[in-house]
Amino acid sequence: MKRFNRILPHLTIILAGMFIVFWILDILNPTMNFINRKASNKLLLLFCILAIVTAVMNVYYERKYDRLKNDSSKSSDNITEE
Amino acid sequence: MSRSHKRMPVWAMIIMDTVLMAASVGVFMLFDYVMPHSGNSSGTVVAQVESNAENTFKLPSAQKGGEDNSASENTVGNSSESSVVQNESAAESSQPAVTTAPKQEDKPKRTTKNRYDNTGTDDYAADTNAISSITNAEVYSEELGHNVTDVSELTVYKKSVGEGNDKITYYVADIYVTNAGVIQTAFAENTYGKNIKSSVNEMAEEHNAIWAINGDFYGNSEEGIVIRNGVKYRDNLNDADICVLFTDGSMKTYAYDEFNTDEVISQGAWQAWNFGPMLLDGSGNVLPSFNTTTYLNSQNPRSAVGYVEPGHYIFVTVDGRMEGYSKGATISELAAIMADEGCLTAYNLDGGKSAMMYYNGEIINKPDGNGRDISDIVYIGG
Repeated sequence: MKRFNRILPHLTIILAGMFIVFWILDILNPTMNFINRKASNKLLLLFCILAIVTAVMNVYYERKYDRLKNDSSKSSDNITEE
Repeated sequence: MSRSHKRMPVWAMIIMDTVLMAASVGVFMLFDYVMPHSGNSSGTVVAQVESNAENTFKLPSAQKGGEDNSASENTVGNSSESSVVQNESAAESSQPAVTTAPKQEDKPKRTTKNRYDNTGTDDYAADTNAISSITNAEVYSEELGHNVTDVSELTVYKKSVGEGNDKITYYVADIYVTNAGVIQTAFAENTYGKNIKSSVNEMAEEHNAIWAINGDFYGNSEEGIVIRNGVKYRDNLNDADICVLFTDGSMKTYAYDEFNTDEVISQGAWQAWNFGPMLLDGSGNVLPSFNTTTYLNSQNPRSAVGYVEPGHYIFVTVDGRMEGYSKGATISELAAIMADEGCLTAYNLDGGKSAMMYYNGEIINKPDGNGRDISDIVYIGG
């Protein structure tokens, strides 16, 4: 799971980069139809799924980090009160 | 005891991601643009050419023959063989005949019928300066050959306009046919599918063609209408203009948003190409704007099909990317060339390295980078 968490953002970056390349090529030569091909559509779906998973994980870890930070500040407050 | 992970430096991570991205794009291209995929489609027959009186046109040599039978005997070959008739002056001097083409003369009468609207597309305005520079320039013309069969009459010219680095060299096939069925198309390896490619020479020789030109490279895309020799293989439209040759010998070009597949098929679509853009308005005038992009609108080698009247068509291949010989043509310049050739309707086919014209057993133009393998050709059989 930890390894997957590490690879996931990179996969998202790679797919995002691929679509930026396709977008530029599509502007230059739309008859080549880089963005609207069947294979591109499958890659786009994969990109969306990876983007959602990466975003959800990011939100989860951010909340977890905030919770831990709050817990640690509360516990340090308790120690100082004692 | 905690295990410490040595993290990759940021610069190495960026390089790794960029390399992986480039490799992924490469694999995608290899899979989708290079590896052949058979279309698994034998197509649906949508039209057949009937050689009845309505759909039969007279060849110029046959018309002359009516006036002078002796001339006809010398020019019209039998049905299985084509005869090559040399230009008289060329035969006498053994040098190719070089003439300056008359400007704006002997053109078919232009009418206001068949005018098409090009609105609603990604328009690029026609370059009026480029158009006038072509239409006002002297055209140097050299006849490369003349073939007459029972069903077709074909004259091939090499022409050029401009001087020095502005020179444009192009090849014109002036074709008369007795019916639209004589204008044939062929797929690479005789198979409909994606990325199935072959050289123009191979395809032309396989079909015993006297003359051939590259088609619209339909196999490079999964979209766009494909009707060939009256058989429909694909009809999912994209946003490119469409050109249709009908069984009655007429030819029309359509913007993608005004094209109705069923309607066109019901009118007898014999060939349909999907590349574009369309160049003329159906009355012989250059369109005010073209459905293209800045990149595609630049000076490039080009191929185009033009329609003069039922049974009379002009095919042009423009060489390019060779300074001093031919710079290539923009879409506006190509449209001006087609209008100058007397076409009422004209349509841009695949260009760049694909722009090739085959005649009497060889490629007669100078394709950029010696050309490339393509999906399809348009040809006249021997």
